[in-house]
Amino acid sequence: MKKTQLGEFEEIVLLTIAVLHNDAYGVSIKNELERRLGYGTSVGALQTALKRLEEKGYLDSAWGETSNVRGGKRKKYYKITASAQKALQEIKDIRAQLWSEIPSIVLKFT
Amino acid sequence: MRSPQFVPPRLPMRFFRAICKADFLEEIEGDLLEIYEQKALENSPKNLKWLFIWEIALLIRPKLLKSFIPSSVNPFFMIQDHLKVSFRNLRKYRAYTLINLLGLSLGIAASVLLFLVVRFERSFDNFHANSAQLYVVGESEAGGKPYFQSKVPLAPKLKEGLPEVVLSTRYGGWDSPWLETNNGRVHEVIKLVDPDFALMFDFKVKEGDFQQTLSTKDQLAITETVAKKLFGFEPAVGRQVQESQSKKTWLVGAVLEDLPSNSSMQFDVLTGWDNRPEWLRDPEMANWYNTFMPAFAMLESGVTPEKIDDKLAKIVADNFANKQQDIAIALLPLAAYRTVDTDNASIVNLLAIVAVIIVSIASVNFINMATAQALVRIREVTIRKVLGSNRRQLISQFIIESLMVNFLAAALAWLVVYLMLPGLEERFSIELQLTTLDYFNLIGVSLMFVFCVGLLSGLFPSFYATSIKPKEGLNGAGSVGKSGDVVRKSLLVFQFAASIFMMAGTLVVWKQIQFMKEQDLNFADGQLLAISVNSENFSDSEKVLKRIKLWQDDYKAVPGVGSVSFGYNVPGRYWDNYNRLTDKDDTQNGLHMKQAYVADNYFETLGVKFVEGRSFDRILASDSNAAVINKKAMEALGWESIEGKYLCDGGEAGCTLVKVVGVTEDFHYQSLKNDIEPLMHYPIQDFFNFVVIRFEPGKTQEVLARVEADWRELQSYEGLDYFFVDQEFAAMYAEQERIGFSAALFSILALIIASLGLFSVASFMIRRKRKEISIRKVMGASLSELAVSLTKGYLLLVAIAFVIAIPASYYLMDNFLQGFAYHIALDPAIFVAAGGLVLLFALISVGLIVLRAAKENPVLALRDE
Repeated sequence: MKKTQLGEFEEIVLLTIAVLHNDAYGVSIKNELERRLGYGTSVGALQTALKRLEEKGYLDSAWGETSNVRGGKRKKYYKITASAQKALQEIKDIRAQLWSEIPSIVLKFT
Repeated sequence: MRSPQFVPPRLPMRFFRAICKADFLEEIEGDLLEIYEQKALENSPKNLKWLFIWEIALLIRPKLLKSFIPSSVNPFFMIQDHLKVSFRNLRKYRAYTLINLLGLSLGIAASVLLFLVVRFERSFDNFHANSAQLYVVGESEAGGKPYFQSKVPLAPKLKEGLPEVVLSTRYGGWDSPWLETNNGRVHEVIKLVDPDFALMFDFKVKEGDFQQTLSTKDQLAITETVAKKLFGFEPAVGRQVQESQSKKTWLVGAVLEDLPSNSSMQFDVLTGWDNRPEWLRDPEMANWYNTFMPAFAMLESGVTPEKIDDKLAKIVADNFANKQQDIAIALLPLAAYRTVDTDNASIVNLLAIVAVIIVSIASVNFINMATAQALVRIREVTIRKVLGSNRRQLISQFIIESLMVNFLAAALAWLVVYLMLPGLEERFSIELQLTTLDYFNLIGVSLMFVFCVGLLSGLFPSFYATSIKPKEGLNGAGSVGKSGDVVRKSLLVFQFAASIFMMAGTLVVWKQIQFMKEQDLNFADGQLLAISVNSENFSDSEKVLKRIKLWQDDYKAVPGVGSVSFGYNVPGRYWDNYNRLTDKDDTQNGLHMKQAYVADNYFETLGVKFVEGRSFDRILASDSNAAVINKKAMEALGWESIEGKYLCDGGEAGCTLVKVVGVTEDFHYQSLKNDIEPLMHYPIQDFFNFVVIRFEPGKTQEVLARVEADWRELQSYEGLDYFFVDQEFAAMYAEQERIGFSAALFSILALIIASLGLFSVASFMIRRKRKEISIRKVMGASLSELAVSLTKGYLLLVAIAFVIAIPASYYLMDNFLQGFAYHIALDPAIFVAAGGLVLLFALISVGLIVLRAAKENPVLALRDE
């Protein structure tokens, strides 16, 4: 458990990348996040999270093809790694367990 | 294809590229472009730009930024190495280091000191919380300069009659009595004020109720120093003080902290207006006619004197005596009190300009020398480059080096400031009272300044020393082109222009002082002894004054004494006491005249010549209502002759006729800074403040000894207080002499710094020409030909500087001289002399180097390479 060091934002970014599957690069991740969260994030915030996740070994990246959109700059595609999958699973399990153990009376009032 | 509106703003993009880590650049830039295109469809172009900039700003995160420290070099060792090399370089060019250091530190020290003086002068009277609303109540005649006196009932009338005047107080002088307790006896400046004084001004109260004291009968407020003299360390409030002469007792109601030295009001004791002496209650004095009372008023916030002009005019119309209707009430800002009073606003501005000039000369010098010096170090730079230094490292080396010298200079400058401060305070007779916070601020500012100079002087040379291609650099320093020459030369021109400007200024100030000192005062000012007699200093003043009057006859027998007379005034000590008099036969013809009171024989003793009529005569009883006026007054009245002329001295009670018995030459009774005004003398009989004694040359000691012996018999509380009239006049120019001295000191300093700069710049520039010189020599050029060809370029610079400096200094000096009623004409010779002096200094500093270079054995230079 203690090895899974994921911030909330990082976790959501990871999940989004997983959802986007083969089409996860900077702008698509950003748009997807905005759609789901309902508020925007800055390129800076997103890129910082991406770089940090890559350093932690949760993300793999690969350059896309050169094209003449986006000023001829290549896209960088991201893919989650096995350790990311494991970490996400762990978090999900912990949460599920916590949810299951909440006394039903608590939930009634909310 | 993308349409052009999808191209994001260039500048933020370039900024982003400059700061982003290279690895991330392509990906993030691509993202940015894509997002920009998305947003371009939804937003107006203006919004779009700001959104983009915001996006870039949010990208400034440590994770994404480029590292600005080269990862391969340990910055600590790099700086250590730079410091070591810098130190070696400084030692290698010892002379230049010294010149650099001295020039810069003297420049900084001088301007810090000047800045302190300027700041002190500007801080006058601004410690009162209400200072913006405080005004001096004065009066002015149509078109005339306002004077800071008003009529006695005016201040309370202003407050009573105008809702805009919130508070007002008079600030009356008093021939202060001696005060005593068992502990001590003091003779201090006592002022009479209204209770509002305590509310208007923020003099700190140490003990007691200040305002209450001012409205209570027979109570005094005294300063801490006076309290110490009178009561030692015991509490003073509630204690009694006695007047030495009249034995009247007073109660101390409040003790004030000692007044700050930047207050133009300086008093020791205050008492309420109700405690004023008898003569101030006399309706003949305290009326709507006599003008002699200083006063202050506080206006409602936001009200300016202009706004209540009409109401002030109404007060004049309703109250002022009939013959004074052409006088206007003038409310002058409190700040003007100091500047107009001492007339030093222009001087303070001048000092501020000098400070800026000096510090810019010094820093320009430093930058100039640094660039010149970089030329010699091209080889070193090249070797470093070949060994793999990148440009950033080279530039940082230069910067570190110049920062090092700069900080050293700042430290040295502060040492100088620290040592000079006491001398400065004495010279300018001020107390700066610097707090620790002031020191911190000043040191902070000067450090910031040297940091900027250091950065500039490091950047400048490093850029072009590092831009040389290694191959050329290794070939030798001679291959450097003329880059930077224009900059260096224009900096030199600036320095010389500033030096010439200051030299000319100094010469003008000195000549003006000389002029004032040598000017004929229109009376024989030499060998005139004046003795000040304060009637408060004797237990029985009436008897003593009668005794002194007898000197007039006694001294006839004393060898060496010419004549003796008495007066309320002597030249140099004429009061600002004005009165309006009219021609008896033509009441429309009136004149505001300065008034003085003198005894018979006064004009004879002074050696004042008469244009018409005669002096006062003691024997003629009719002379008690006579007057002697000066030529200025006669001209102003438009009289041809004083035959049968009477002046009408009209108090409110009516008009006293005064017979005009004589007209004197216009003699100077005050500093030549001020014009001679229409002046009238009244005769006095028994009362006087001064004894004037004319003595023969060489008899000074004998006469003084005699007077001193006689003085001891009078049993005064104080010793003999005397002065010589000519010296008194000379002392009036002390302020000007102080400026003259500072101007001389600082302009010589500026000249020396500029010459040092020229010396080092020229020596570096000529070093570059070694080969040229040697070849010329080999080809047969003579020493003088060489000297001329090498020097003339620099002389041209001085000439250009001369042309630039003249109009500026002419304008400013003309301005300065306008402040003197009697002044010299601006002589072209002054400017020629200033230019010549600077030229001489330039010639000497360039000449030394040229001669050395020209005398060198050509072989030494030619074999180099």
